[in-house]
Order: sequence, then structure tokens, then C-alpha cells
Amino acid sequence: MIKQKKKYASQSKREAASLAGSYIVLTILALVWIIPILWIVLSAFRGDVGIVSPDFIPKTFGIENFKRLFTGTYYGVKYAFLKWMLNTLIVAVLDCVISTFLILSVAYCMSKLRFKLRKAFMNLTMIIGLFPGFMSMIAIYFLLKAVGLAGNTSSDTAWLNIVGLILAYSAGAGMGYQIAKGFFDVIPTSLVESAKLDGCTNFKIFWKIILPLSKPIIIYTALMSFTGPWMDFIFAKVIIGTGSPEMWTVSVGLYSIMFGKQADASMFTQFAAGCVIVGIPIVSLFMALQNYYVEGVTAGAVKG
Amino acid sequence: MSDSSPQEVKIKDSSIFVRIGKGFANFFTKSIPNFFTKTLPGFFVNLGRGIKNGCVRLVKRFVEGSIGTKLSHLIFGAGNLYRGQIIKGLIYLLLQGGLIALFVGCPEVTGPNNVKVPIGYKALINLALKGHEAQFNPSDPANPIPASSSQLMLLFGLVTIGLIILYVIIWNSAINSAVAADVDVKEGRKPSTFKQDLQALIDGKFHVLMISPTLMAAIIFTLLPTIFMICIAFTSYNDLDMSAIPTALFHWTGFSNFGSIFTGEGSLGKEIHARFFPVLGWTVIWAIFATFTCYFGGIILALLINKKGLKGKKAYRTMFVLTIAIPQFISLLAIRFLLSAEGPVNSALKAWGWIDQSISFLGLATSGNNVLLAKVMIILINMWIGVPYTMLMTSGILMNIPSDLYEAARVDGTSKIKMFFKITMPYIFFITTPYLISSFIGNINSFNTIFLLSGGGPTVTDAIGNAYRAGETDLLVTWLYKLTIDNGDYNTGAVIGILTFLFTSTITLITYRHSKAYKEEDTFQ
Amino acid sequence: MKIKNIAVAIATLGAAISLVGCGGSKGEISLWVGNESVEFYDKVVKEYLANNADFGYNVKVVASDAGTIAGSMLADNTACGDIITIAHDNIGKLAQKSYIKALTDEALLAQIEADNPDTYKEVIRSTIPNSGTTDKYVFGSPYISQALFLMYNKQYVSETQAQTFEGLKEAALALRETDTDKKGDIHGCTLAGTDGFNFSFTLLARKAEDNSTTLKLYEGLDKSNSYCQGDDTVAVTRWAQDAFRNGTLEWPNDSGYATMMQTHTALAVVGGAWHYNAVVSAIGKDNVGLALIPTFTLTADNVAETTIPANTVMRGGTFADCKCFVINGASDKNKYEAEQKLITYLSSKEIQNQSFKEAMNVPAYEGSMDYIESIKSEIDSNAYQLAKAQSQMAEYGIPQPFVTATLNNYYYQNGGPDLYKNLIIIDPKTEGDDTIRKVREVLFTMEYIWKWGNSTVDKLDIPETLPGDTSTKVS
Repeated sequence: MIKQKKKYASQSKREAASLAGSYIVLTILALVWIIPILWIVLSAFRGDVGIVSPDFIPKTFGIENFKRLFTGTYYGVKYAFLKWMLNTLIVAVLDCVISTFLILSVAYCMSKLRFKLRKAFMNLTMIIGLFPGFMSMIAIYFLLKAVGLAGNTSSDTAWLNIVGLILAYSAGAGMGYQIAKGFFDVIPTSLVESAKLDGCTNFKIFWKIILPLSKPIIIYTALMSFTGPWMDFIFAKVIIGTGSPEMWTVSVGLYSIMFGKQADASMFTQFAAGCVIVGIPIVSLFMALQNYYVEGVTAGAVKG
Repeated sequence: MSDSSPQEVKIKDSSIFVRIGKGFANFFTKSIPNFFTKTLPGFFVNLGRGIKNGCVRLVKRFVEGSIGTKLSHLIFGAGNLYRGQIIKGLIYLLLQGGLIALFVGCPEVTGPNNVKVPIGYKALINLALKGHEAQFNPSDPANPIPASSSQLMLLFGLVTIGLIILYVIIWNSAINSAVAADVDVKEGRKPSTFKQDLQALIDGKFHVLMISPTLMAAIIFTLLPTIFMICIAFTSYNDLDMSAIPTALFHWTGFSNFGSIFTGEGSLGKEIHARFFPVLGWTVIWAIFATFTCYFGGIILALLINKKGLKGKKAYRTMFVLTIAIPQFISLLAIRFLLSAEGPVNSALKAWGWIDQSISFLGLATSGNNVLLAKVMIILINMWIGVPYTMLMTSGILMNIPSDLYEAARVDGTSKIKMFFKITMPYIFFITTPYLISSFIGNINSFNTIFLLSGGGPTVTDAIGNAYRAGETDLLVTWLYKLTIDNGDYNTGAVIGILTFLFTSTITLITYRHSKAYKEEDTFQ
Repeated sequence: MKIKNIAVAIATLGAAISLVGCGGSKGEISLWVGNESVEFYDKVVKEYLANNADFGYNVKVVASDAGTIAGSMLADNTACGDIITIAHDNIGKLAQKSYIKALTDEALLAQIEADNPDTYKEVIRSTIPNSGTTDKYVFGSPYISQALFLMYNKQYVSETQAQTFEGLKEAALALRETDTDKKGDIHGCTLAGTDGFNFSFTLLARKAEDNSTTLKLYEGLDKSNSYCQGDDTVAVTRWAQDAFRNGTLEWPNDSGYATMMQTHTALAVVGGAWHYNAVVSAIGKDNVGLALIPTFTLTADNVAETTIPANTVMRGGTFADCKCFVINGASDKNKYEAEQKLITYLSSKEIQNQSFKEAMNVPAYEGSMDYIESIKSEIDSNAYQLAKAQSQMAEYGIPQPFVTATLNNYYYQNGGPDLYKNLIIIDPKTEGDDTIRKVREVLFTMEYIWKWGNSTVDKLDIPETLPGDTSTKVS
């Protein structure tokens, strides 16, 4: 008995020690993880406007950068940053709605229906997904241009470039159905079967039975397609083009401010402020929907 | 983990590493040979069989069909009209009329410099890529005649081929539809009405409704551009040459661009000859390291965070997840600044007196770069991005491990470490194999990390001191970007693109064939 | 998941898009100017339109990246402005593929002829292939001049020190003594970039007393009329090799030249007007000094084995370029007249002057310094210094002589600048070859590339004896 007790005592001591160790390791790691982001935030709140500074913590604090960002003229566009944010919001929302619908419907068909050419379709999407995207960008640009949805410069047609961008983002989205399919695969097929016996159409089964059960994957898919446009700075620039900066998305705008061929290094703090503003909505979405995100990621991992 | 002595760990079951090792061994000894001895030949046998059956069916369909069906071979929808399916028949007819009008009428698309490029039969002729140079009439300077646009001639030639294939598909569908109506009549039913056809779309043919937008998008926005890119690899489309001559046109060159990998001929042949294998090698090393560091790092982090009794799990998790939520062009560039020569890290190290000269962490100095350091740094920074992802994923899996597995082990008195290696690790590994594969492929094509951190640097120069486009840390995909988007060397870029594809698709085909998920689907038969 | 809500959302967004896209229906000419002066030209154009009601078009002023515009034009010029701004050296590339239109309006041509220095007039003309004529046509109307000059930190560098590279080095070494934290990290001067344009001041250096050099780059716009193997070029190269090792010069690192100025890792930078803002932001406006690219004195070591006497004073050279308005080849032919009228106005002396006063663009026309002197008291002293340094540098410089696509390609895309850069970087770790023989070999190769491109440069046989070479070949 005594021996046992001793054993427990030493065990709990050891556990306490290991727990303390975990705290230390985690805190150090968390610091490493947070420092670059913290640095951007600190730079954004630097009192003086200007270039990158070797000081980690600024000497003065202020919100001048944010003021300039919101009122400033960039690339000849007044209130450019606000316009870019609005453009990105429009692109993101529409892309999110269309992509989510396409992805889920394709995933449903692939998971719960059996039809001719199903496997051919799955193979096709997997194989062409493996081609690096850069080469196809110019072809996509010219195809969109042929129907008037890219490369417009005059102020009354430039908005069509945004339509082109939404189309290019969302049209192919259905090919990324694998994760959602993994999720649907887990939903018992018997549910579908019994609904069929009750005379439900496939559409009704999808809309009334499958979707209500799929909140996590709907949110995951929507989250992914909503955040995409905020992060892409290459494809969007090719499609919208340099000729209509008022139609840029915010990532294209911020990237150009800081890293265009003749970018002005003194824009850095404003760039940082822009990053913070862009970061806030995405990060808060992520945080709010973290659990769904985890479910989506796990479904993807398990099913590939 | 922290409470175990290293010796203990050594004795523990190493099944997971054995598994990985076996996996690799299997891959080379079984999967690859299997692919070439069974899968590929099987594919061709099936293809031949399919063609034969198709032909038989074609003839049979014509011979046995009603007059309407026979007529449908020539005039789409004739069979439907014959059976009273007016709307359906008209739709087919309209499609046929439209496609023929398109093919004969050759509508024009406006390309660069307002050059007009036709679609239709003229586009097929254009596929020969015989254009004319720009012309200038001194008496009418406002109106120079633009040169032909080779790239659009090629692109819309391919579009036309696509339209022809579409025509054949509709042709086939029209005949099938006529045959179906024949069958309905023969068996005493009324041929389906248009309304019934529409209703079928949300039920029996629901997949047609749902899949077709994606299929069309896949063909237009991915397949067609991909074929275009493949074609470019066989042309002289290369800004380096075209601006030196100067010419606005490119033409077919056969396999010479591929040959230059081995011969070093051609304007960029030297580069592709000297740099292809080094870049490929680094790409593979990078992909292996990036995949496994993030994988094991993520699992360890998940275990730490999910430790029993640890408080503030959510807070910790949130801090790590930030890196997923923040756009990479922001977070990676922040890291790049932090590590730059005058950045906070170097400044701090100097202030503490640890170094005299700034360390070029990412290999971006003009000279004196440490290539190995740059590579290690990039892999470490990639962990910063990738680890939280695996952490989230494995957290979910950890919670789902059936507890009876542990119960049984606990009864046997198995130590925690042993349980980890015997139960936890194998379980996670078993479940996440598909993820490992796809993350490996993803890392081969990992653009952002390299592009935003090192931009491919440090540069590599040839014997006389010219810098190659591909630097020490360039992956195939960033090299491709430099060649195409930065420098307009499209043909060389296309060659790299195709080779990258062959590489990744081989790995994918072989590994997926062995993964559980795809075996269930028995996809590749 | 209520369909209605989604539909309402889509409709609202659709409306928002169409609102954003709202615009006039009158014909529009889009004018692309540099990002830094877009507000100025927007204002000028509005005034012009107000005074010329019969102009017939709206004008949309768009900011563009002068560095990438030629690339965008070649990719798809229908997606570019009707009137665009390019550096003159891109004219040949675009003109020879009919991507831009020749200018023919008599008033405009007369203005270009009357206002501009001969050096500019030479490089804005190009022949046109397939035109049946070998006549040269004017393609661009210069309106901003650009040259490299020196920006230095007045806190550490005196006005006299800024006159010579030796002075800059002296200032750097002095600071190394007092600022013991940074020690070897302090350098006299850095460059604004690592490309061939930014370090051209070494290669293009001239003898200070008579402004002469033996270097010829496409003289008479003839590709074979190039020469860079002169003893003076060799000596200057040897000097540059030293300068990058002894604390005089330093390449910009990955933090950028501005941060280097801020942390006084570099006390000065050779750059252009478009780098001025960043330098101001780095060290404060009052600390920015502006001067010509300094002179340097060739040491006995630099001139060893050459015919150049020691202590020859050289002056850093520069490419003195001009930015031009050109007409997009894809622009509607009906706009041609109006476009030329607008260009005539925008590149007139008055507007160039105004542009200098309000947007710090240094005018391109000949004799613009007189105007700048005349308003010296009205303007910011830095603006004055900047203009003065630039226009004086233009006298020591040459416009990049790339009037054809081929010349541009041979100079930039065939690795010549790389070759030179790698020659003057002597990597201490790899113990680069800094013998005079190596210098002569690289210059020989470089000249070959200038003349013939690099397709056969691998098989180039470097002769045993190179021009001016007295040493024997080291194998």
C-alpha cells in the first residue's frame, strides 16, 4: 500500500513537472509564432510614417498610417484602399456563394450517386489539377478577354474584369470537391435510400436531407472560398490587369504598393496598416469558425 | 514525452518508422513496376476494346434505327421531331445550326494590338502558325497593320477543335435520344415530353445538372489552357528570341525544347541543361523535408496542447492558427523583413554582441551567401506555416481515437510512451496517409513559401558569370514562374511545366492506387 | 440557408458592382502616367478639358508602373492606356512590332524638334520594319528626364566629402571609429538596386577633366560600334572591385537601400528621383544632401599594367534617360488626332515646368535648368538641388542607346550586366579571381555580347593577347 502511494505521489509529481514543461515549451513556441504577426501590427501603429525599421518596438505610436491608408490616393485612385476592400468583399462573397454551391453539389453527386463517366470525371479532375497553374493563366486571360471579361481599361467597362475574376475563381471551384466528398461519404447511404423510397427527387434529397446534416462542411467550404480572394495576389492581377487599379482586389493593391517594380520603400508602414485591416476580418472569421475548420481539415485528411 | 529518458524511446516499438520505410520500399519495388507492367498495358487493352465496341454499336444503331433516327445522323433532332418531341428536336437542331454557323462563319476575336483572330475552319488552318509580321504604311500612320498573333491562333485553333469534339458529342447524344424515342414507341410508351425531361434533371439525371457547370469550367478554364500550354512547349514562343530578331510570331519547333535538357542547345538550352536536375533534386528534398517536418511537428504540437490538465488550450491553439488565417504574402514577407540584413533579428544579434556581420539567413545578399543555411531556414519557416495545420488536423483525430484501445493497454500496464508509439502514432499515421501524399504533392508545387521568402536566391551563375534564372532555392514551380510571368520564356516554361506534371502525376497515380480511399473507389481499372 | 436571403444578397452585390462600374458614355482616352505624378496630370488634364470644350473625349488618368509597362504592352496592349508613359529605351521594342504608333502631327513634331536636346532626339526615333522605307519615325515625346545622382546623409557626410568617393569612404571609416557597435557594417555609399541601370555609374565613368571615355555603347546606334576594353574601363573596373571591399561602396542588401541609410550602414546612395521619397523617409528631409555622382581617383594599383596614369580623376557616369509619352498601337484610329494634341500640350515646356514645380518631375527639354534657376527662391531647396544634380549628371551621361529591340535585348537580356556585376563583386569566401587578366577577359566577353548576343558566347575563344594586355594568360 505504502509503496503504491509513493508511486502515485511520484507519478503526480512527475506529471506536474511534465505539465510545467509543456507550459514552457508551448509558451516559447507561441511567442515564436506570434512575433512576426506582432511585428506587422506594431509597425502599423508606428507613430511616424515610413520605411522598415530595425527596431522591433517602435519609438512612437499613433494611427497616422491608418488615416493615410483610408484617405490616401494610391495608383491615382482616390480612397483606393476602401475601393479595393469593397471589390474584394464583392468578389469574395460571390465567389463564396457560387463556389460553395458548386463544390457541395459535385461532392454530393460523386459521393451518393452512381452514373456513367463518374470515375472518368474523378480522374480528369485529379490529373489536370496536377498541372502547375501559371502557364494556363495567359490562356485563361485571353479566353475571358474574348468574351469581354478581362483586360478592359475604360472606366465604364472595367468592372467587367471583376466579373471575369469571379468567374475564373468560382467556375473551376467544383473540381475541389474531394474534401466535401469525404464528408458526405460518412453520411449513411441508407438515409438517401429511404428518402428515395419515399419518392424524394435527388435534388430534394440533396437540399433537404444532406445539406442540413452538413453544416460543418458547408461552413468549411464557404470559409475557404471566401478567404481565397483576400490572399491571391498573382492571378487577380493578371485577370484585372494594370489598367484599372480602381478594380484591384486588396491583395493586389497592397502587394503592388510595396513590391511593384518602382515601389516606394517609404510605403512600408502604410502597407503594414493595410495588412492589419485585411487580417482582421479573415482572422476573426477563422477564430469564430475554428471548430468547423478543424472538422473540414480532418475530413480532408482522412479522405484525401 | 518530456519525462522519458532517451534510452527508453530507443527501445520502444519503432513500428511507425518501419512502416514508412516499408512504404518507400514498396513504392519502388512494387508500385512503380506494377504501374508500367500492369496499369499502362491494361489501359491500352481497354482502350482498344472500347473503340471496337463503339464502332459496332455505331453501325448497329444506324441500321436498326427508324427513319427518324437515320435522319438524325445528318440532321440533329430529326428523330425527336419525327417522334413529336418538338422542343427537344429544335434544341438539337439549333445547336447543330449554331455550331455549323460558327464553324463556317468564322467569327473573329480581338487580340493584342487589335489583331483579329478567327474561330472556325480558318482557325484550323491557323494552327499551322503561319502568320504575317506587322506592316506599316507611311501614308497612314494611324493605322498600322498588326502582326498576326501566334498565341491566339494557337489558342483559338484549340478552341475550334474543342467545338468539333462538342459537335460530335451532341451528334451522338442526338442519335441516342432518337433511339430512346424509338424504343419508347416500340415498347408502347409515349416518348418523354420536354417537361418530363426537365424533371429528370432534378432527379434521375440530377448529376448532369450538377456536374455540367463544373465539367464545362474544367474544360474551358483548366483543360484547354493546359493543352495550350503543352502545345507551347513545342514552339519557339520565347521572348528572349522573339525580341532579339525581332518578330511577333512564333512557330512549331518539334521536340527541340525537350532535347535541350540534354544537349544544352537553344537560347535557354544552357539554363535548362545546367539547372534542371539540380532544381528537380532540391524540389524533391524540399518536398520530403517540408512534408515530414510539418507532419511530425504538428503531431507533437497537438499532443502538447491536448495534454490532460493543460489550461488555456484554446488560447494556445488560437495563437498557432493565426498563421493559417493571415494571408501568406503578409506573414512571409514580415518574416523576410525580420530576417533581413538590417532587420530586427540581425540588429538584436549585433546588439548582444553575438555577431559582427549581418547573417544572410535567406540567401539574399549579393555575395557570400550560405546556401545550406538558406535552405534550412526556408524549411524551418515553412514549419511555421505548416505545423498549425497538421496540429488542427491531428487534434481532431486524437479526440476520435477509440478509448478502448487505451483501456486494454492500460490494463496490460503499458507505459504512456509505449502507448504513444504503439497506439496513437500508428492510428494517426493510418488515418492520415492520404493527407501525407497530397501534402507531398502540394509541397512540390509550393509556390508562396519560396517566392515570398527567398525568391529563389542565391543566384547561380554559369562558367562565364551569367546568372541563371533558377537560383539555389528555386523549386520547379517558382522557376516556371520566373521563366513565364517574369521573362516571357514560355516554351521553356512549358517544358518545365510538363516535366513537373509528369513527375507529380506519376507519384500520385502510383500512391493513390495503393491508398485505401482509392482502392474502395477502384478508380484505375 | 434561406434561398431568399442569398438571392437578396446577390442582387445587392450585383447592384453594388454596377454602381462601381458606372461611368460616362462619351469616348474616353486613357492616359497612363507614373504613379508618383498621377494627381498632377489628373489636374492638368481637367484644366485642359475645361479650356478645350471641342476636344471630344473624356480623359481618364491612370497610374502605371513605368518599370513593367513595356511588358504589359507586349503581353496585351489592348489592355493598356491609349497614351502611355515609357522610358525611351523601350521605344524600339514596341515600335518594331507596331505596338505603338508613329507621331505625325506637325505641331507635335515641331515642338519635339525645337525643345529637346540632340541626344534625346536621337533615341526617340526608330525605323519600322516592313514599311518599305528606311526612314526613321518619331515615336515618343520626352517630358521627364531621369539620371542617377547622389543622395547623402548630411549628419555624417560633409558637402566636400560628398564630392568624392574617397570622401565618402573617409566619412564611413570615421564613423566606424565612433560607432563601435556596427564596425565593419558602415559603408560610404550604396546603390538603389543591383541591376545594370543602377550600377551603370561605374562602367560609364568618365575622365573628370575632359569628360572623355573610350567606352562605346552602340554609338551611332550601330550594334557593332561598341567597345569596352579600353584601359580606362579596365582601371575603373579595378577601382570598383576595390571600392566594394574597402568600405567605399556596398551593394544594397535585402533590407533595401533606404533602411541601410536609416541605420547608417550606408551614408549615401546613388539613385534617381524616384528613390528620393524613401531616402527622406529614412533619414529625415533636413538630413538629405543631393549632389553629383562623386569623382574618384585611380590609385597606382588600379592602373597597374595599363596605360592610364595614376591619380587620374574619374567622374561616375550615368544613363541619362527620358520618359516619353507614346501612343498605343491598339488605340482607336479615330482618337489619333486628339491623342497627339493632348501629348503636344502635356509635353509642352509650360506643363513640364509646372510638373517640376508641383510633382518634382525634372523637365526633359533643353535649357530647363534656366527655368529651375529662375524659380530657385520659390521652391524647396531639395527640389532645386535634385534638379540641378540631375541635369548636370545628364551632361556626364548618355541616354541608353537602345533604339531597336535587338540592342535592348542584347544589352539587358543576354547577361552583360550580370557579367559585370559578378566581376566587381569579389566574393571573399570563394576567393574570386581579381587578376587584371580576368577583368580583360570579362570585358572582352561583355563586348562580344553587346555586339552579338549570347547564343554563341560559350564557344567564344578568348585570345591569348587582349587589347592593351601586357600580361600573359593565366590558366
